[in-house]
Amino acid sequence: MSAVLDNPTGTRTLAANNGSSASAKRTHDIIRIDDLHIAIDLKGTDLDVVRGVSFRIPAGKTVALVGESGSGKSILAQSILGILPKVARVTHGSIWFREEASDDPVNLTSFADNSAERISLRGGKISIIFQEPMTSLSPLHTIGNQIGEALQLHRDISRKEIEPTVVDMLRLVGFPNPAAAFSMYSMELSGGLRQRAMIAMALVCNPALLIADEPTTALDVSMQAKILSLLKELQQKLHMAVLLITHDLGVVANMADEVVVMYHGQIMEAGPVEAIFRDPQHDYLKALLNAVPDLDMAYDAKLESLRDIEHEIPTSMLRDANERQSPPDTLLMSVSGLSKSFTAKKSKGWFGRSNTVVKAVNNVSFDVKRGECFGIVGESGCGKTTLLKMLVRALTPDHGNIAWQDQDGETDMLALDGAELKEFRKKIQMVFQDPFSSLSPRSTVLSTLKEPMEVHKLCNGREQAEYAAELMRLVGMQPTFLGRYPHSFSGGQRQRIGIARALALRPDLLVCDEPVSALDVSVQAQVLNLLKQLQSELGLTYIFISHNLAVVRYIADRIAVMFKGQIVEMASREELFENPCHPYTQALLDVVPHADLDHPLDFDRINRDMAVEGREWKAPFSSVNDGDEMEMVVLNENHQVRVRKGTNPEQITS
Amino acid sequence: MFRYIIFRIGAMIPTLVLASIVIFTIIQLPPGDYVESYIGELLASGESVDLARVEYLRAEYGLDQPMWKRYILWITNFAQGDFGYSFENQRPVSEVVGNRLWLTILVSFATIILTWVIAFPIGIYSATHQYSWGDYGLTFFGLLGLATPNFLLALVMMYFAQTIFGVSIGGLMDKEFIDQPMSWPKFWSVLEHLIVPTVVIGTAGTAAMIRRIRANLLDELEKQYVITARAKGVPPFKALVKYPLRMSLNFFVADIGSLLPSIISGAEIVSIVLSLQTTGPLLITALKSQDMYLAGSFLMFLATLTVIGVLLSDIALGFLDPRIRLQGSADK
Repeated sequence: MSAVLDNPTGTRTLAANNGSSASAKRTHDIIRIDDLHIAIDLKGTDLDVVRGVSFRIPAGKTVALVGESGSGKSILAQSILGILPKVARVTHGSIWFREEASDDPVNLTSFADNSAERISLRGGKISIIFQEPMTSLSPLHTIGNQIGEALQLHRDISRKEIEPTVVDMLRLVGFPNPAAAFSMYSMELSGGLRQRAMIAMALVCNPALLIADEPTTALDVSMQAKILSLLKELQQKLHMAVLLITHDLGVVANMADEVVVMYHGQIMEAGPVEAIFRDPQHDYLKALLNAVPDLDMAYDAKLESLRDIEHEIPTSMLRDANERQSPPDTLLMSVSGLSKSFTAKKSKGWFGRSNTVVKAVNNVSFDVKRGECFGIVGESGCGKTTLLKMLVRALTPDHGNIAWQDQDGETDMLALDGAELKEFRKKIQMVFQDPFSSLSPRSTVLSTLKEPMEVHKLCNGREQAEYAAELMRLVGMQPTFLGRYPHSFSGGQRQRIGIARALALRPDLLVCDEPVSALDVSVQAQVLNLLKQLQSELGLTYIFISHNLAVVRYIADRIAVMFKGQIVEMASREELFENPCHPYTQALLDVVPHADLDHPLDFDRINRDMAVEGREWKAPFSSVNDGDEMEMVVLNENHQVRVRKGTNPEQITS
Repeated sequence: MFRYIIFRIGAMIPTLVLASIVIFTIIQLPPGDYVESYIGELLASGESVDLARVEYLRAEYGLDQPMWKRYILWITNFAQGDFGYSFENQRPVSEVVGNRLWLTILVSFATIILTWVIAFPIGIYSATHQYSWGDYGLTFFGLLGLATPNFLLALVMMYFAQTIFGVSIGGLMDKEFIDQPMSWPKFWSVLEHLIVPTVVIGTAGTAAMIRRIRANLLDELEKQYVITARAKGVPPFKALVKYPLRMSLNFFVADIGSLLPSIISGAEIVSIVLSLQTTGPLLITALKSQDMYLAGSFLMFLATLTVIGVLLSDIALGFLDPRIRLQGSADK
């Protein structure tokens, strides 16, 4: 511990406080939860959300709390910290906290949440990082102010010492320029850096226990790997226990020493990570393991959703689907040379501003065939969403062409305008990432589903209502739900409503922007299976964007890998995963956490990669001189990769 | 930010020109002019009118000129600080308004301070104790205040003050102090008379302010960063003031812009009911008697204050909220 933070400027308080604890062997339990019950007050009646949970968190170890949303895992973490929402309270049981083996255990539930005892523990001895790095930090206060506040509250530290201590902490969590970051605002940082700032805030007082509530769920795979690696590294340096709350079994397999599986407020199974993964006992855990799409599963295997949904296809739509049947390999959409740049106007303090041109999408070309699912993979910021927006004509490209082929012949999509464009929009519909913000909270499901029909003046009111009911059945929901508002649905149900809305106009092409990334594994499998079935039953074509390689592998037929606005590799699914050529694709595949103890992430390698800012690839994959032109070289009929112009395909595969 | 302020000040000029054209047109809309209504008044009181005098008056005030010429004349003078001449009061507009300005500002400030002092604690209490009895009770009173027309409240209070306490609460000071130099007894008398108008004018504003503070704060209270602050061990009161309250103040700062003109306009109707010597009744009579320079300059004055107020609150928002200051806008 002291070795890490041992520097003359300002971390002495940290080191002094924990020097003794680091030397003492921590084999005791920091937290021991006994028969804990938590109830939520729902208009006078109690709903038990945690029902008799008991487990322990040993000092210095990582315990993973696994479960779907609604299983009570987050509220359990809140009860440990004493930040339960107003409607929730602990009805029975105890939480014993003991920082040192020699201390007497303290029952946290015997104190009120706002008592001095608990306030001094929060952020000091027990701290938390949240799922949403975008909203967890106050937008009005500087990073330094927010991290320093924790120090001020819990450490006897002079004002002068705060800044150097915080800057040291920021350096420790991997900020490239910690001194500058001190006076920055959260909106000036990327999602990954914000999560690092959160981690710095949680760890600045050197807590005995860190609760990480879905710390990487909102991040893409490569950022996830880096944050996980950072957490693991810091845990070793600072000797703290970690309670890792997640629904991602891949993360669990790579991080946890012990696993607790929760379902509906109860513990289904608990034990060391080895036992849990090698020999799962409980049916729920087995089902959960089967619901995760994995890079090792067979290409035609079907995910087993925990709760399958029955859906029925309305006859009118079936007729459409039959009409849509066409010989395989018919071209539907052809994109060539598509580019879009943004001018980011960044204000530099009070005077002046700088303009930087960002090529969000740079010369992208691909074809989409009728009836296939075309997947696009890439990190956040690689331009995939910008590309999508151009495909649905929400953004106008700077250069390039999009051609649409159907029974009416070829259409130049970018030339469409006014009424023609409006008519054309029926053919392409979109499913959005966030099922919570993509449905208006003030519209009933019925009016949400009717709206596209009203906009395009299809049918009269009665028919629209009937059709909305059919749409609900189509996505496996009861038509009686039509009168409800979105808040009464779960994330998976909302996403299904979003899909129903997209299908209301009977489109040919469905453009899906990360449709399952905000969903739990079990629900994710359900929605993926629904999308798959709808595709074959209705003869739909998909463009499917995701940062999750396993998800894309499960659903897509052909996949394009995007990096910094360009497609670097494009291949059929089997070809891409069996024979990835581009170093970026390989790197992406390396950072996917597997729900398999025999496939751990190579954290050392991730750390090494992290040190290199801006990737440098070996010879044919990056331009040696600035003037070198890059092009897509065809390796075989199913496989193209971006290399220097004139590179021989054999050179790449060797 | 600096460029932004320069740009905003530049943009004020066309806004004000447009506003002045609109104001001038509206004032000219009713048929006739001041001289006509003046004659009407004279005739009504049984005096005879000399046509030559009418023509003389018209020429004197420039009313025989075409409209655009009068506009140019008025606006160029206005820009140079000459607000024109009030026909009715036979004095320059600046003098007529200036006499009443200080009292108006006094009443308005007292009202605003009262509104804030009452609305803030109640709004915060209502938000942090949502759906409690306290919240319901205060909400009830707030809605009552919002729903009661000010002038009605003024009448009711005047009636009860007269019948129960036997005091007249009209005016802003006892009669003997009017037009007297400032003295302690006069100051005291003004303070006494200030209570009722402040309460009357303030009720609706206070009620609206409570509702808005409550709604804005409620939106913020559930945000993730508030939970972060609690999880960090920030004591509850500080966690409330430093994070969600600070965030919910944006609407409040944005409001300051519209406060500036309302300080000067002086709650017209209530002022008439309570016979307060503020600028409000002045404006109304000026509009009624088509005293065009008084009405026009006064309205123009309000428009200028509105534009300046909005600029000030935008600059203040830029200072307070880094998101406004720093966010670069990407073009589509």
